Amino acid sequence: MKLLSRSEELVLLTVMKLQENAYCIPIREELIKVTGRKWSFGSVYDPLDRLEKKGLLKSYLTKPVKERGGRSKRIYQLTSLGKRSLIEVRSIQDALWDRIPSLEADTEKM
Amino acid sequence: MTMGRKNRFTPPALAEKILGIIYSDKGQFTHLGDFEEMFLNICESRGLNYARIWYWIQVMKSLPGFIKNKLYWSTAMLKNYIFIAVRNVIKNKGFSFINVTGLAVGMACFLLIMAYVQHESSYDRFHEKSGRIFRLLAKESGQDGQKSVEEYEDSFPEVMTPLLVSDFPEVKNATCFMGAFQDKAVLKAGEKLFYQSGLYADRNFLEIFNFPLIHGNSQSVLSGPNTIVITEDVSKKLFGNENPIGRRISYKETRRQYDVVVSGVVENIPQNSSLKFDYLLSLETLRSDKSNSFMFDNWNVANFHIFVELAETGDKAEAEEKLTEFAQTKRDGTKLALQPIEGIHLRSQIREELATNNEVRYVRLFSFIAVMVLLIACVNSMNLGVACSTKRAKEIGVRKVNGANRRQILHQFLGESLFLSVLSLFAALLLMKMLLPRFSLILGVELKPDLLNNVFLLLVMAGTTLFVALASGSYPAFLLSALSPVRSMKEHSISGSRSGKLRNILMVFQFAVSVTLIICTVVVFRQMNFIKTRELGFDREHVVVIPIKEKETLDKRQVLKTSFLELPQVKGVSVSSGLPINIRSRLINYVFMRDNGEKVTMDITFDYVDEDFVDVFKINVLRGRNFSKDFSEDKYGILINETVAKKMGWSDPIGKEFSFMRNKYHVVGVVKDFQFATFHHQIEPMVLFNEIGSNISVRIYPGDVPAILGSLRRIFEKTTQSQPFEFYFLDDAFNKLYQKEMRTGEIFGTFGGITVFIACMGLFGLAAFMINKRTKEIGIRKVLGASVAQIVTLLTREFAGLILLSNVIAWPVAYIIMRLWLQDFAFRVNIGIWVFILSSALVIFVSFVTVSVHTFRAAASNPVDTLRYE
Repeated sequence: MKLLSRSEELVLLTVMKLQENAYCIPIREELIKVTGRKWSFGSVYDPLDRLEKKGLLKSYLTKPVKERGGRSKRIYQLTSLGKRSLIEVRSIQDALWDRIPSLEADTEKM
Repeated sequence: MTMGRKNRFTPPALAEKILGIIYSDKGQFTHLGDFEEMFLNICESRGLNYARIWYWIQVMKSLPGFIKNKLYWSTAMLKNYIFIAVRNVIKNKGFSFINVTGLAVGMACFLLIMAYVQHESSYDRFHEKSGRIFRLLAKESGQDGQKSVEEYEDSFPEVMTPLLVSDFPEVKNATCFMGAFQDKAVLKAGEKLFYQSGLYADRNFLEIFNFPLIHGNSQSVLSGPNTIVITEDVSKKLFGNENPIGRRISYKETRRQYDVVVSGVVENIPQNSSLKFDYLLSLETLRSDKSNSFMFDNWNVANFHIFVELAETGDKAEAEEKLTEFAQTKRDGTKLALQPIEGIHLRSQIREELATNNEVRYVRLFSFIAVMVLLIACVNSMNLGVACSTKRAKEIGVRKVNGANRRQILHQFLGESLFLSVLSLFAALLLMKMLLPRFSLILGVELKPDLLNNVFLLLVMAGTTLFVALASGSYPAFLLSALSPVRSMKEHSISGSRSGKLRNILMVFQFAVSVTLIICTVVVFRQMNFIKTRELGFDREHVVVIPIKEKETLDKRQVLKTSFLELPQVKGVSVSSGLPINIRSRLINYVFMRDNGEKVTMDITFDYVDEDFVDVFKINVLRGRNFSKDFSEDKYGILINETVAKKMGWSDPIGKEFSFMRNKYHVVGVVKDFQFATFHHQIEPMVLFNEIGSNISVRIYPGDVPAILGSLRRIFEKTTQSQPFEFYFLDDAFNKLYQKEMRTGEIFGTFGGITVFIACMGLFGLAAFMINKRTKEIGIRKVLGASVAQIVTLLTREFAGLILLSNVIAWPVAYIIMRLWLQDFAFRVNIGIWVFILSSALVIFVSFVTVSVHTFRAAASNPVDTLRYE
């Protein structure tokens, strides 16, 4: 299986963090807050859809909510496959990081 | 759900709707919900207006991607659909050919009949004021306060015209005109000479009717004496391309001759005009000629047609009432009526029409047949479509598996049938072009549909194409789009009972209509044949009729008679007012006294005939004797027919008295009942008076007819110059009485043939398909020992049942239709069971031949080949 892309990884992590409240709006807010960058709706929907198709996420609909014009929320959850891929990415990154002496020291030199 | 949204900020409704469309197939509830929640958040932080703008921006951002996607996929799919459609047409060449031919024939018939219907109902509507133009009609009733049912007539004295305008506020304008005294008068300009037919018309003629003038002013062209208005064609013939205004024409009829000046040129008369003429001679020309003075200012000479234009406020019924009141002062018992000019062509039945007209029920009947033919063609196409669809099942399965939804497949198949029907339309247009002459002949109308400028026909064409596409494509489309992908992947799964049943019903319908039309054709022709061969009670062969049309000839009729009799080829001559094929003078509710004082009321038909009438027409005198010159009292003698004698209860009627129109007559003889009206009527009581009339009937010996006619002409022209020699044969006139019926027969025949053709084409295709499906079964049967005959029987049985069933349905339908049609005839042919059997046999035979092409091939095929078929 392919490695996760960075945006997928970020979305997955955010979903993990938000737990029961992991639907589009909080996910986007969280992402904006953490990254300090602009996230359009589309840039959140896309990875969510893709991850769900790949089976890294699963979702369910809540009861209709008044604030949403009587519409449901779609709450996302990580599947075990999702969790495993996160761990996989993490371990690969860690391995890579471990192999280099010290990035901070390097940049300071330059 | 929406309850909770009351009194809250909501996003703009329109924007929400657009988003709803964009996200129609992606959990729209959640996406829209996200947007709405966000909208509320923004509302709280930045205010409602900002939120609204934000929401709209979101919509705008979503649109481009959405449109791009949609376009991309729809063109991609469209390309694929077209590709598949074309490939299917090419792959199933036979089927497509049958399908398109059937549809094209059906559509061509339908369009032709629509063109005909349009033409027929457009008569006289081109006049700007056509809604307010009426023809004046008069109905005379008999003396003694007795009503007469003589039909309406449209001849009036000229003096009446100005009175109509001055005395009746309802009448805004009136025009009178009359046909020229001769069918064709001579128009001569310089050396060029042509025979043309035309009218004498007063100055209002061109103001009421819209015959646009190319040269001249409509108010003045006909006002002076010795002026003539000619049509464009005549102008071209006489003067070429020069301006004809002011040119001289010498106008000549047998007894009249005028030098006239061209004062105007009108556009050629449209085909759908009841008034037809090549020229209009001003009425003043006639008036200024002293020899015609008897026609003018004379209430007793009625030879003008009068048309009136009612004022916008004028009420037709009121005007009629006032006119009748006025007419009563001139002649007792006259009733005047106004007939709308638009109704002349289809709804008028007066004694002598301006032009041959039609009946509305025939137009309706033809339209109905046209619709049936179109329906049959659609049914055919539908049948073939359903049959072919099994082959497409796998394609649909694959499409569905790849994510096509039902609507897409529906659209695909409807699109394909639209493609076919457009193809058929073009074929139909070609066919129309080829069929037009033949069709015009049957209907007796020269149709020249100018397709590109005819909005009605273009609409009909578009409508027909769409209708055909929907009617023939909808069922296969619905059937196929509903398939589950799993089922459709298995072959034959949709030739299941449902579609098979429908196919059978449709086929039964097709053949039922075909058989019905054929039975109708046979019955109509049989009735016509019956009429032609039936004993009329007189002999209509070898009689030349010369109608007398004006006074001088009328004065000389006795001279003519004696001179004609001198010819060796002439057997007898009679001068009578009516002819035995059509005696129409009639009094109704006439009261007679029987011998025992009992009163008898009857309608009585009468005619004035001379003493040779009975001999010339070979009518049998049963009792008493014919009129004779030897008895002076015969002036008050009458001949009655058997029916009168029966009604009066006279066993020996000779010498019985008979009062009629204030005179006493006595019966001198009884003639055998003869058919003096069309076969629509029973033989009624009839009386012949001894007086001469205005039709000269000459019985000739069979032989060199042109020579005899030449001799007659020579004598005629020597005796009288006032009238050209015109004649007709009695049996031609007789046949003309049944022209409409003959036409009906031909229409039934033609369309019956066409429906059988279309139905058989469908059958041909269907048989090919069904037998193809059973190829293996046939192979196995043959291997197990079935003979060719057995297999043919097996295959034919399936169709035979259906065709027999459709016959069974068609029989009562045809019977009822023909019973209704025949009810118009007092004398009708027995419909007879053999007509049904024969028609059915014909259809069954044709369809068996059609099917057998396939069955024999299938049955004769080598099982080795068929079983290897995989």
